[in-house]
Amino acid sequence: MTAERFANRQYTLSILDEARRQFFPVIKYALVVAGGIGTALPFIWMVLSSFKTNADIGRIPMHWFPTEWVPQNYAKVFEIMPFARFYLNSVIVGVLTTLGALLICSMAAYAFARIRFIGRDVMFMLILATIMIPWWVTLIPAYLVIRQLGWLNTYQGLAVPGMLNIMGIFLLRQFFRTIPPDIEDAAFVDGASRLQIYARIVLPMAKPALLTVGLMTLMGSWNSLVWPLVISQHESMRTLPLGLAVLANLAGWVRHETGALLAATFLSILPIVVIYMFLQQYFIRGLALSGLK
Amino acid sequence: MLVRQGGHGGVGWRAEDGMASRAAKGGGGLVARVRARIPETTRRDNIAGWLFIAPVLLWITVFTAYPLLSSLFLSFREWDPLFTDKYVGLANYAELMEDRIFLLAYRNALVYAAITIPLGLVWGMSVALAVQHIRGRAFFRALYFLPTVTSSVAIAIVWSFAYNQDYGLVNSLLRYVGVQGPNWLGHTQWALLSVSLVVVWAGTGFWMIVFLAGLLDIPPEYYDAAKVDGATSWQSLWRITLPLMSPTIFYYITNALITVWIQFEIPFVMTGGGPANATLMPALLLYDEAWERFKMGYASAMAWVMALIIFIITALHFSLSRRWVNYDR
Repeated sequence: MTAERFANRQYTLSILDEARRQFFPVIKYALVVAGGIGTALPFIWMVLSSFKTNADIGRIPMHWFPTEWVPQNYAKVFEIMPFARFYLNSVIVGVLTTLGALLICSMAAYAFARIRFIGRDVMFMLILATIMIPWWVTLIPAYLVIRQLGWLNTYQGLAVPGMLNIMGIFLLRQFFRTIPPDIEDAAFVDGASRLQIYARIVLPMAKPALLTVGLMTLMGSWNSLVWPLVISQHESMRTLPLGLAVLANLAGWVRHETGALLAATFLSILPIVVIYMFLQQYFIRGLALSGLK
Repeated sequence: MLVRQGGHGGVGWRAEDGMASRAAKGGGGLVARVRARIPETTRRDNIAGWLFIAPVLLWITVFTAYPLLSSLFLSFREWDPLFTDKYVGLANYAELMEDRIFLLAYRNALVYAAITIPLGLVWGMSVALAVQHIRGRAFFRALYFLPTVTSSVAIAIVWSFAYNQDYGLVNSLLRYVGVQGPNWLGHTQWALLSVSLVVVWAGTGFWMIVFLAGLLDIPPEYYDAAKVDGATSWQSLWRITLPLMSPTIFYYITNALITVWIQFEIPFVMTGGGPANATLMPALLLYDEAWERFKMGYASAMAWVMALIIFIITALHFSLSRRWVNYDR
């Protein structure tokens, strides 16, 4: 009796197991596809709505496609705010920050990877440890430093502090250590200096790592809000995220120009998204590495 | 220390041993002897090394080290950039402990943490596990990662429309299934939840990539062995995958616990801390005190409370990770 019941139970279990085996892949696909749709929908809605009239956006129930495609929102973007100026500011700050970061971080990374000097390991640990300092703590005095320098509302004020990328130093150092030392040794024999070796041999070989760090820095600068918020008090010095954030907070304005605001938002993320599409692996590698211990 | 480090130096370094021992045998004062022990190439490397790291040191001094000390100093003062500068001792901190708005911001942050951390973990891990072996995973990985490269401001703008009570995406989808959704961002009861969900949505792709990297580290033989022993995939998940993922999960939790206190952009753009301070977060309040009310001393005290919490979490991470986490390799 007990044995029979046990056998029955085993049978039921094996059926359940079989069902689960059939079912699991379906669940997996369903989960991934549903999540994927959930990720994409807000973006799709943004792009579609940027071609709707404001009345069309506000229609209830919502409908996905514009009743009438109106590209005028994209022209209006430039009328209701100095959008071109915001764009230019973001480009200038992004490029300055990225080039500066690549220069100072790769120099330090090279020293930490290849030059033996007194205090090297201590300095490396100290520099890495600064990652743990939450930047809200340093924000007020850093703002006061910029103010003291007379750099409020300037490109250097926006770009210079962002050139320090500790994670970038760490990633570049890791990469430099993988370059075979024989190449450098040969250059030494030929009488090359440290600076020449760094600039002519190591940097050209480190292009993929530089690209990863450069993209991380560019993306950080392009998307940052808080630093521009405290540094740019004049409208003419706002970067894209700041310009958009200020406009989005003006509730009355938003009600009237939703389409234009969405068009501006779309245009603001476009460069990074396009670069991301082409250089995906560098983004993912850089960000995932910075996320790992 | 110099000799201890293995690895690569210049060619000159390799001659060091001979030169150093020869110099050590000679007499002279201590300084001269120490000097003589350091060969020429090493001396040049010392100079070169410090010169190469000099720019980064300058940046750290000006934008990290000095501000760190300065903000501690400011936190003991009543200070604004123009008129006030007075030493007040611990008064700022004492005032904070009785500041109901400040305590509310921390209470909100705890609720936000209680929503985002478990949800982000379960959802990110589920997606990572599900996407791991399916066809088209490169496409899905890229898609999920998209919000990570998008600015928080853009995400917040799009979502604040998506949460609109009447024509928003969320309520329109709910209407398809016959549910009348609330005014998500306008209602104190829903606003914090709504903001938290956007943060989870935006973070999924990043954590999926981190979890996928952790999953790749698990040797496939473990699963093969478990299968031979008749384990179901459900059992493998709980007995193999999750225990071996514990370092990554632990890292996730620490990181999430830290970002709770510094979250700014998404609530700033979506709600500005409202309605009725329902989404007020510590960083929002700090910004308000420092740049709207110019109470920079008081705001610095807030910053140091935040820093203290983060330092404690980091210290706990390091001490606990030795005990709790299964580092099997």
